[in-house]
Amino acid sequence: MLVDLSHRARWDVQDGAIDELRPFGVAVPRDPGDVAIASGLMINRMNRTQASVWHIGPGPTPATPDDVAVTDTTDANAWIAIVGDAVAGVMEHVTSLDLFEPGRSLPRLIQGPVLGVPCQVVVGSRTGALLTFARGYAQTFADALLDSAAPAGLGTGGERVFSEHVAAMARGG
Amino acid sequence: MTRLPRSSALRIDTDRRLRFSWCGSARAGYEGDTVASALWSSGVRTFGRSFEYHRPRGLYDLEGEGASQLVSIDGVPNQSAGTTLLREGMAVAAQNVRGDPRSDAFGFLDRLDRWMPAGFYYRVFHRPHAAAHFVHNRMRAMAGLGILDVSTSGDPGRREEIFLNADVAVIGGGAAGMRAALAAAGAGTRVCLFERRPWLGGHLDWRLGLEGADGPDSPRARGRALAEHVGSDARIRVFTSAPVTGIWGENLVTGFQRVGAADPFVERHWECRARTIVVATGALERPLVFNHNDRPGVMQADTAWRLARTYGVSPGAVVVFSAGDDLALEAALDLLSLGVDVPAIADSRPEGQDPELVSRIAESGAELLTGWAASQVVGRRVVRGVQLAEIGGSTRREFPCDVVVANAGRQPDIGALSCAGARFRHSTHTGSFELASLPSDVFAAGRVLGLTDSVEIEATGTLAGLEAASACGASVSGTLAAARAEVAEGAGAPPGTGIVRGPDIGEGRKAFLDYDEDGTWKNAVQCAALGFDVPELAKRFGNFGLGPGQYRVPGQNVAMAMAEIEGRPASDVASTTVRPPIIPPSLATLAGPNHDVHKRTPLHEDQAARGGVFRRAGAWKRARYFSADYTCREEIRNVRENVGLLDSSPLGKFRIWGPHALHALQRVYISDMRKATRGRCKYSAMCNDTGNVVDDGVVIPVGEDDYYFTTSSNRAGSTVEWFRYHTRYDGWDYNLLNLTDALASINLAGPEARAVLERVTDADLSNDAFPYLGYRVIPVGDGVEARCMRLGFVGELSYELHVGASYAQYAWDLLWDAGAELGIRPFGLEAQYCMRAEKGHVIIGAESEQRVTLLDIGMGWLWDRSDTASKKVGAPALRACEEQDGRLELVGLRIDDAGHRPEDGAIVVDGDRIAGYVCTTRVSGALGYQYGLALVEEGFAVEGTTLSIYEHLRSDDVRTSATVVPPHFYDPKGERLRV
Repeated sequence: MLVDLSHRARWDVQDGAIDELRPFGVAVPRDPGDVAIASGLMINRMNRTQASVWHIGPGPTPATPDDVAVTDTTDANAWIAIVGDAVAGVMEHVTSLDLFEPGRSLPRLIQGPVLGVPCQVVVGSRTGALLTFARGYAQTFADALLDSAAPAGLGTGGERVFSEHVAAMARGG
Repeated sequence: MTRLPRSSALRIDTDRRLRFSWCGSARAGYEGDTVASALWSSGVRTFGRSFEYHRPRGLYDLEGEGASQLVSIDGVPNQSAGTTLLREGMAVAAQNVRGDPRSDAFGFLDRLDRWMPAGFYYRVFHRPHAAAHFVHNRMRAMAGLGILDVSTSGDPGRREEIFLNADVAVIGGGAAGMRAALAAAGAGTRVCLFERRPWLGGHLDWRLGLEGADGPDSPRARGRALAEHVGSDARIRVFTSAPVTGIWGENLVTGFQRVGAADPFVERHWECRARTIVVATGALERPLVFNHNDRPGVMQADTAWRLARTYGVSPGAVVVFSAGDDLALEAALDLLSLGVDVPAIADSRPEGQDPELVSRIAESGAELLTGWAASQVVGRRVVRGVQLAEIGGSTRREFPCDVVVANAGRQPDIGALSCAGARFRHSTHTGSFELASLPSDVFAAGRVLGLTDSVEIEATGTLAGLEAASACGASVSGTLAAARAEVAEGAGAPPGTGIVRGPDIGEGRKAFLDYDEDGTWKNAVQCAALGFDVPELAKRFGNFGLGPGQYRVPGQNVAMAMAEIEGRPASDVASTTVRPPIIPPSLATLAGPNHDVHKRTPLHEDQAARGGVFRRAGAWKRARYFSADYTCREEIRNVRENVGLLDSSPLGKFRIWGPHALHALQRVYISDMRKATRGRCKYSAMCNDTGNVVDDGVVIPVGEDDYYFTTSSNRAGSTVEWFRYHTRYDGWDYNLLNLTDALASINLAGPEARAVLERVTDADLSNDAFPYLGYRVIPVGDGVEARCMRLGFVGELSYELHVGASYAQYAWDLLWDAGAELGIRPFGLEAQYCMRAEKGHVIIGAESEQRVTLLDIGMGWLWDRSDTASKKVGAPALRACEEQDGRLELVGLRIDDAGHRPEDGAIVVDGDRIAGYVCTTRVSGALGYQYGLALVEEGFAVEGTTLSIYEHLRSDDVRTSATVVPPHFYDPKGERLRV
């Protein structure tokens, strides 16, 4: 199922000494591609100096810290989740990224094009993937995704589907 | 036509009859038939007419190897009859035919071949020039095969695409390919297997063994067992009906997949990124070249064999063979076992046949003639008989028949290997080109290596699979060594026949090397005589292999033919390069779902509701007009006299911060960015290394080492990379964040702009408190924060408000309501474009291009010449161009002819010489005349100069006159901006 999470808070963290920062009291993962989950937040290391932070819950949205390195990017991009048993089949229709390479530890951040749109993709498990991309693409991206992946059974779902997925991730499922 | 007794190899369902039409007449076949097998079974022999000579053509192959079997299906031309499954209600028609395909009105062209030698169109019908134009148009009208009428061809159907990743991509689902897939999967790798036919098995699928009984040890049983094994292995993804179209860089394999009626799409494009590739594409039948070898009724051995076994159709009443390999002999025996009359089998090999096959042929009563081959077909429209002749001898015999099965042995199907970068060399042992070298991470197996023994074929498959897995890092050293040993014990490729042409073909006027373009042996001789004496040149001059069949029919034969004609050994020549697509995909499949994924602003729906007419602007769709009047006269007037609103949200917006943020700004911008001060917009431009302006915008300090800056919407996507690229060696500590989509931008412009804004904010907007180029953060409405800039792109008092994207509609509605009684209206990109042109404000790409620098377009005042320490991008080029003569300059134009406005892009001429061009022209209501901006040679840039403008759509003699004026037409002193 496709779930719209665009209303949930997201931030960008950038600093030359990002490894020393603890935005929201959480350590930034060390290597690009690494993902950490703590305190209802998902922190994705993007590159040498940058990480994205997503509020996956449960729990209330934390306030943006008064830190020059942290910028609220909630309005900057769209955020969707694709949840269900056929996630791999869905994503095969829209991206050449090797999202489910065997042996890769999950969750994992992969950056690249989906439907030709630059995306951050966090693969949480074989049953869930989270994508953020520039806000302007939201409507046409969703339309194209639903159309392309309809043969794989993609439909729309509400936020509860996502919450249940997050809970399953926390249990290690 | 006779349907043969059922066998276990049958792939049709005789309980499900399908009706279709052929050239308007009702026909029938069965589910599982291809169009070709259904046509053949219903007695159709002539499928169409050839490209040049309009010769009758029929069923030569069942793999889509050439144009002979291309037909029109349901109005869609150039469909492969041999590979398209029959569907109920299909309307199939012949191509390149005037009238009935058996008696085509242009069939007389076949007798004019003497006047159409190789490459004749390069040398004849060129003079007189006036007549040449007429003749060439007539030739073009006749050229081609199928005709596409988009008004009647119907919906191409849904197309899909799928992107795969694998450790090992196996191309070819025959025995070798299946073994490779199993071996690679067994070693723990991810495998994708692609097979062009609807089923796995390759040659095994229709071979029931010499007894014809399909016992448990038959080739077919073995193939089925392997296919089941592959199908049950979850580590192998199998794609059938999925031909490969190409192999590209970094082991990207592409293809398309045809599906059945029950699937939600018609066809889909697939791509597979693999770490390694195994090519097991098998071998094609190398055609034998003899006189009239293109007649309907001449076919490959596999064609006759599969007609009989796969589709249950007798290939003919009397079939004569001219073979070159043991598989052809086996095919003959199988047809005999089915009751087909095979009176004679010529084998071009003087010796080396499988003794058991020879023995069984003798028992059958068919006559085996070794060292013989076909020389000439008898029959004008279809095969009526064939002359066989002794190779190197003088004996010839004629046999009445209605089908001639002919090949000169097998040649490796090199298409995929060639695309992957493999090299080939001619082998006198096999008589064809063999693999000489492979790129790393590409492996080959099976018949593509020239092998014929089934044990060896499978062994090479296993070896290739293990080698591919090993290249992916799998631990297979033990099994790999054993596999190598097994392959080493094999006998290798057997000897083949090296002949290309049958005996006694004379000059070969109608002995075809290439069916697609009617290329004959005589044409090849003509090419050599004219100096096009190597395969690469003969291919292009003589049109060998330039048709849909590409390398398959003419392929290696052209190279070997040129060698023979030139009296050189075949080892001296190389077969030509195969290029994608190996098998032609349909354009609809390449286009794919064709979703229009684009960006929309947060105000898109609002703009649409207000009547916005949208156009694509880079990645965005934006409202260009708000009425049916595309001159936007009223939109412009309202801004000039009143107040308007523009959604400028695609504007690039960025935050840059850090200890070296200013360093980075100094590098990338051409101005002295130290002069950027709090509360002020510092306007500047970015240049590239050749001094061209690539972007412009404003930079605003918002904190310590913290800046907010804007760019053009088109460049926003590459701004971060631009900064990082031009500072990559400096080790500077700064951060960049793209906020383009995070903030919406609304432009409020016009003499009443201040009055409107005052109604939504309590900030001091007086000219003293908020002057032109000022920057303030102001609250609007219920305290929504807006970053507000006082700019003037359109030449009027204007404010640009940047608010969080989620607040965009709220802010727009506030301004709209506030301006309602003042007559506020939206304006679009075209109105903005016109108004900024009236001001002489340059738009990058409209009044700038590769040949003009910052200086040429009058923006040199931005350049901080004194700063060399920052190594500003583009500064060295500007210094070099500063004193250069002969450069283009940007000028303003006043169009002298009130009755005609030159188009954007019209040429400025000096006699017959080009002296520049018109970038933009518009009609201005505010100015009362037609104006424009142009780039002209410096000699024509003097104010008052009269320019002559040429437009290609007008008469050659007509010119439009314009006068050079300063490029700032409207409010040149900028007083309206500063009010």
